[in-house]
Amino acid sequence: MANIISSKIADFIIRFPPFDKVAREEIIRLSEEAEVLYFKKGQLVFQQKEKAKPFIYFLKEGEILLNENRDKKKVLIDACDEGELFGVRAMLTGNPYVFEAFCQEESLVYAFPLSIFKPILESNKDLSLFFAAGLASGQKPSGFQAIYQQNKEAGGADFLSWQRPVEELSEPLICVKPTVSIEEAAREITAKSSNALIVKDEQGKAVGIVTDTDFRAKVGGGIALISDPITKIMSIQLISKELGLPLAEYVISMLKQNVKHLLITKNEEVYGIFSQQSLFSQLQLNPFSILYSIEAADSLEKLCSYRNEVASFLKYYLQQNLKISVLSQLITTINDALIKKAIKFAIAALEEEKYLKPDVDFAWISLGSEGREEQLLQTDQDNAIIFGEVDAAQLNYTREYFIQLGRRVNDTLHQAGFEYCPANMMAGNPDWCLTISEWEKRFQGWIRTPEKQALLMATIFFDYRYIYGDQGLVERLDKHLKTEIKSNRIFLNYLAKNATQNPAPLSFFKNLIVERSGAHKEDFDLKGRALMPLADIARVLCLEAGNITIKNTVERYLFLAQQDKSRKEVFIDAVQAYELLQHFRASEGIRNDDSGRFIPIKEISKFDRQVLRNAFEPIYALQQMIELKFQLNYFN
Amino acid sequence: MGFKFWQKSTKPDYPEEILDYFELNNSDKGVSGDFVVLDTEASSLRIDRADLLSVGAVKIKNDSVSVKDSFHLFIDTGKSGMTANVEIHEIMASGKEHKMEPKKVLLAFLKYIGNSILVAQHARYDIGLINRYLSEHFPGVRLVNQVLDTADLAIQKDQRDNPDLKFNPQNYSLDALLERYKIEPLERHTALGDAYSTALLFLKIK
Repeated sequence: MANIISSKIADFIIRFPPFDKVAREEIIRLSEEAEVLYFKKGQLVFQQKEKAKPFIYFLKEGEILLNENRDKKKVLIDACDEGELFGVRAMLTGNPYVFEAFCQEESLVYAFPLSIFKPILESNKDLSLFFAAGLASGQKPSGFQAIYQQNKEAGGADFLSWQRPVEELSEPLICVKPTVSIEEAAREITAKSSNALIVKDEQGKAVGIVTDTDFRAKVGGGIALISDPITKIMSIQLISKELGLPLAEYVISMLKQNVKHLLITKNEEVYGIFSQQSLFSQLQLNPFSILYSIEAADSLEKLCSYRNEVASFLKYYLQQNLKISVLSQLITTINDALIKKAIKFAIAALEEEKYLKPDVDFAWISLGSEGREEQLLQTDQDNAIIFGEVDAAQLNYTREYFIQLGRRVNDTLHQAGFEYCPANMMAGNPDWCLTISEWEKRFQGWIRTPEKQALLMATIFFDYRYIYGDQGLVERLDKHLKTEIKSNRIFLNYLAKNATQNPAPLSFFKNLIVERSGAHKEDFDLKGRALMPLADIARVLCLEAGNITIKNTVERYLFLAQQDKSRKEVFIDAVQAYELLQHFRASEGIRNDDSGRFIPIKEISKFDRQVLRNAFEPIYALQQMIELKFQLNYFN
Repeated sequence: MGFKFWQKSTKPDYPEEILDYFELNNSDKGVSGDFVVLDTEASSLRIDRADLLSVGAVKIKNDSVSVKDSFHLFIDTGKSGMTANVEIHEIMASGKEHKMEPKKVLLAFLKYIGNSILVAQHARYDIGLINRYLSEHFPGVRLVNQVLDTADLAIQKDQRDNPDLKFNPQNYSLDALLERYKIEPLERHTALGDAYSTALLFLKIK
């Protein structure tokens, strides 16, 4: 019989996930059968290895720690917050409890009988997903796929089209022989109302592609005659991709290679052409238009204004729940284009001011999160210049030129919304505008004398990524870094130690991990406490594995999962955790119009807290792992 | 059942519920370790003339309250409606509660409490009122269970912690105690709501 106690319990629990996904009548039925349990501080709700009781528990008030007794030691597995469920694993499996539930404070617990709860669970998809995703306390996160699944269903059609494999091409395939004349080819392309054709040789191999633009620019422009063979106007830069990949793959490929058409193959045979036109019909707010605007910009003012479009682009796709790795690649491509354009403008401006460009190669590199291709929101800029060796006599002038170049680009980027780096790690700073051999010495110094400051530098600079100029200089630095690390393995222990400095936040409970001082006293430092530890661990493990070219954290973990099959699971968990945390940070940043780094604890919804907490688990596991691997307990 | 045994005695011919109640409480089994926390709602604070309007109670076994095993009955006072206390209690005003004869409510209550220890806030009042009703409807019958008063328990606890404590009765009203022990009142001025809140209070201070 319903009474006021059960209806009050129902009113209370329905506010918390997963009960917010359950019909009210069912919540009431569950509440009518509830037991209200009271525990004094220090009591146990259940013991480890105790046979599972026929209840699932909900913490109404108090604080409960889930501990695992391991070798006579209690290891804290999870802290259960008010409004959370526990005793879930035993409920799902029927096995004895794997943890004890210890009352850290006087606690009031609702116990719901499984005889009522399980049928509700089994008939409710959202509820099953909640447990499948490991969202209750003490549950091992079984991956975030279930959450993605949930989001995906809520997301718009646009999102689906990004992930949807491309199985068909809308444009007809037109192939011609290399000997065909331009005139004949033009007739054929018009007849089939297409906008591109493929030139195949005798063996059936694609040798080039001809698009509408080629006819217009090269024939119309007088470079070729209509009687000339088609090969005269074809473009030979062919980027091919297999059919059946997700749409996002093609989009990113076109953006990165800066081409408007892709050659699509099926079982390595030419299948057709995938063009941007066909994309425009499918995607709202498409990234190409921003990219082209940037490339076509003829003034600094224009260049800077386009960057603002990126914010609305980002917001739109975040809401669509586009996979974060896809989104960050899109943003990176746009940012890179902006940087390249800014460099070109700066070179031109210097020339106009009669600064003669020294006769030496240089390379522009991005550092830190931009090097890792993880910048979503406009945050700080971190960049540097490497230039080639010059005679001692030339060095001053050469350096001065590149510092000037760096400063101008830094200023432009600042105007475009990228804050100056507060630590002045920018190409316009003489400290970070160095010859290749100076860079090598810097790197060597950090590796051979791994003091605190050197380690900090390593975490920023070793994530360098080539943006513009002579790639050979960057490759030389790669080689040097690899050799140095190989012959100074002890450096990795220091770097590993550094990566475990911030312990994984285990819980939001009782503001345990809120920053204790300063302006962000009430905030959770998402970057410092969650993203950075994951990025730091990925870096040290990849360097240890001898891979210095992958910079992106997600790709680093994917590489590690490939390398070390025995730890594949934790690395894959880390990938998902990292993507989720990045997504969260970007959404928060957009919501609060800031970098998303600090999040007011009070504003995090219950559901997000649970999702976040599970994302913290791999941090903890990985930190433990590298402590063992690098024997950090014995290392000071 | 003790029915036959009692039939042979000289006691009045009580209903079965009362006979069972006596047997449970008279036997050598001693008291059960269970508690019944109760609250009454009535039309006046004077035991000798208050109309009992409702009785609410919950059971505590092993520090656990079973929501299903709770007690909440409303009494038909035979009066047509408005008494001075109606506004506070909203029992009659809602008009939805099923009201029962006092006798039936009393019997159901005895059956519910058995030999549990009774707990109430300012227990003298609730126990006194129920005893008055029992003697009116079943002469010679009164509650024989052990009784604990949460106000007394709270005072004792405070005096234990601080022997020099100056006693101020205002600090030991139900409202004051609930606030002090951070118990959100479930629904004040309904018998079951107050009984439940008192039960949580009891668990915290016992």
